[in-house]
Amino acid sequence: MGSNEPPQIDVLCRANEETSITVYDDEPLIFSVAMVNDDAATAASYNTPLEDQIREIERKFKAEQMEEKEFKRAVEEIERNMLKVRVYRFGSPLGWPHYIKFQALSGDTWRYVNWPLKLLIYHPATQVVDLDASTSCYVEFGLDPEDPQRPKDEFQVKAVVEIAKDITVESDVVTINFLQQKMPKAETSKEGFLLAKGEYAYKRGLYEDAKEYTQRVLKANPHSLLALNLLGEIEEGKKDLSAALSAYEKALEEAYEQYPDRREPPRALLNKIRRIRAMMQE
Amino acid sequence: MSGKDEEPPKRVIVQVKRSRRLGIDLTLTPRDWLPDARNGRLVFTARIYEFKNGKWEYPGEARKITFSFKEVSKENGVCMNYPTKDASNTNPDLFFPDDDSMKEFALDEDETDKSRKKRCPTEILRAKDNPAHRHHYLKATTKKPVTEATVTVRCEDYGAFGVLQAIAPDCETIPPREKDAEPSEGIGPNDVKIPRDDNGNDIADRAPQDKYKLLFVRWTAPADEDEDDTPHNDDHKGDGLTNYEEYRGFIVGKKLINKKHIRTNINKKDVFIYDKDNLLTGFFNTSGLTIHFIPGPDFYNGNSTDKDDDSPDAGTQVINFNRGNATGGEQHGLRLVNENTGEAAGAYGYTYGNGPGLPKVTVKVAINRGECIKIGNHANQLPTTIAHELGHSVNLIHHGEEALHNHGGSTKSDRAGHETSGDVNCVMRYDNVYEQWCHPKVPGPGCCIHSIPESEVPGNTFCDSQTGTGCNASGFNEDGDACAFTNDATVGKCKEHIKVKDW
Repeated sequence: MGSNEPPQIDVLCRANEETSITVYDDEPLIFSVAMVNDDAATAASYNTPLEDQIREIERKFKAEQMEEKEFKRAVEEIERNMLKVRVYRFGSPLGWPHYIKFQALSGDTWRYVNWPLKLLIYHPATQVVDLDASTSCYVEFGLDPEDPQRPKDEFQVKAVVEIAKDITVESDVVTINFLQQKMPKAETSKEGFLLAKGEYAYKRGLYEDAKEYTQRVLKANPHSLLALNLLGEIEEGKKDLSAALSAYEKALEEAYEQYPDRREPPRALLNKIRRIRAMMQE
Repeated sequence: MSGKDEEPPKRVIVQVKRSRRLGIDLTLTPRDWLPDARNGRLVFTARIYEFKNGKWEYPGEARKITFSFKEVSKENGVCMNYPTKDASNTNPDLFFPDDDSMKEFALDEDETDKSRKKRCPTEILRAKDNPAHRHHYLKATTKKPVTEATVTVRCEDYGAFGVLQAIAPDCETIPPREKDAEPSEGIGPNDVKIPRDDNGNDIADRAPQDKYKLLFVRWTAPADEDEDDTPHNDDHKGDGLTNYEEYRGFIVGKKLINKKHIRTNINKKDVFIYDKDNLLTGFFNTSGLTIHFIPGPDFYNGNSTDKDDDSPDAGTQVINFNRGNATGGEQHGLRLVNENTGEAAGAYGYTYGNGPGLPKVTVKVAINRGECIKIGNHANQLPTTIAHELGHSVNLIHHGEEALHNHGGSTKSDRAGHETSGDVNCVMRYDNVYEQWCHPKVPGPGCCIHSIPESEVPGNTFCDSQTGTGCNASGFNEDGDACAFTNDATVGKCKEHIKVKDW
């Protein structure tokens, strides 16, 4: 850190991508936390043309079109106009997501929660991260559906990130109403619910469960681009490359079919197909 | 002569009464003062002098002194993007406050917009930093005759400007003076410009936006000019914000609680982004554009796809919606969101609107974060994608492309000069899509095939040439023979094509 100033980090917390939600007991709940150092992005963008100027001056100096004294003075002048880009490094061999905790409001007091949260995904996938001008840290924690330890009440929740010892930054607040009852039966066959369950199971590494939910979606809607893509990922996770390739290729067809006027191809699918083909050749 | 009898001329007796010659002056605006919408305050002192021994001497005879605004700006809101358009008013930006500081004065000429909806905001950056007030008086007269009076002027706009004057019965006006200086010699208007503005461009002389600067030479920056040239582009000067608008400034910040007011640089092209989902801008900061974040859609007058607000002006993404004085036209901000549906499904990102083109044709920049951060992708995939899609909203196209983008599912080959061509470090180039690039053999049928690495590092900058680098500079055919052919971009030079000015 190297400074006593509070870190200028913006932390955004969402529950199933919302700021306020009601969840049934059999619905998965995903807390996502996204952290950025926006001051660094602004400062870096401001500095970029100045850095270009320095490179140009260096080129002139190396080409002996400038004297050393003049070169140094010019560089110093430009550097004086540059904004300071502060970078915050945090994490440890435990991984940087370890330093993210959640608090819930209890009466007038914020208390750390001991809910059975599972780490689902995080990016960058490193132990330590530098929150710099271009890095956005993102992590998801999940609460399994029907976990007996799931809380049952309404809570206001925020994420607290320990950037360094005794230095924390907090997110905005989300409101979650945990219902004790299950989703009404009529709703459980809907594509959105099944996809959410399937995606959650996939993120938890429960590929068979994930496949079951996804196939239920595809049975009702064989053209579901999201379900085909997810199926490809599940098969890839199961190392069934030909099934994965087949699902991705169907998804690609759907992507072109459903959005014929798109100006950019679905590059993520193209990349997956390319990668799977390469793996199959090996 | 007509010859008619004429009356003898009347004798006119002119009695010259030697009276006291009185004059009134006014102090100048402090040189360093800049308009501040958060209850910004200034004091001005008027004095009455008597002309004695060839000069003005204080005190003169007591008179009731009247201060009034000869001119005053009435810009919408307090800066270019606050408060929201519906809440903005055109009350005078400089006025005499109705408070204790003015208890010795009778106030008049209230030009307040009486509409309740148009009340001035009490919060500009922090709660109650602009105390509530009901009136905006433009005239203040001392209740008693005095030889000196000090008036308070309140400011409520970051770009406020006006002209104050002081008069008193039987007093000539004396040109204004510095606060602690002797009165000027002679007579002349005592008009005082608020803020100091010797070059008359409505921009405070002290503000960096007042003058262009090249080495040691400075010259006036006209209020309505938009000549930003960094990053440099011969054909595309400006960022859609005039010098006055850049001076009047914007409310920016990632969150409402951290919002701040900034005056932007008139030499640097600015771009304003609402980053709803904390994606940040990835490698877009290498574009050379100065990036600013806004705390919510209100700060560019709502998202262009908003349907909630039925007011005719709702949802425009216009960043200078409170424009008026010296404007050039509408300039749009960008909306950056995380999305995995629609065209963004199966893609890393997608720029919606009629682009690639200017901010004004960009509806939203959607990033599929989930796809970008999937295992198997390079760590650069997310920041590269964000920069790529934002690039499409500032006039950038790919390095080259076919008329139709539908490749029919083929991922094998890309023709030379198309998406994979050019500088491999450029974010606008396609990576990890095709297995090879090819060019026709001349003479003869067939193609020269060049491999693209199985796993490429996505670019991290915007290129400034068309020259192929990395695998695009291979110059060898499939037999390993020199091909004397590189996969240069048909378009390329992305930095040179960046354009943000909407008008």
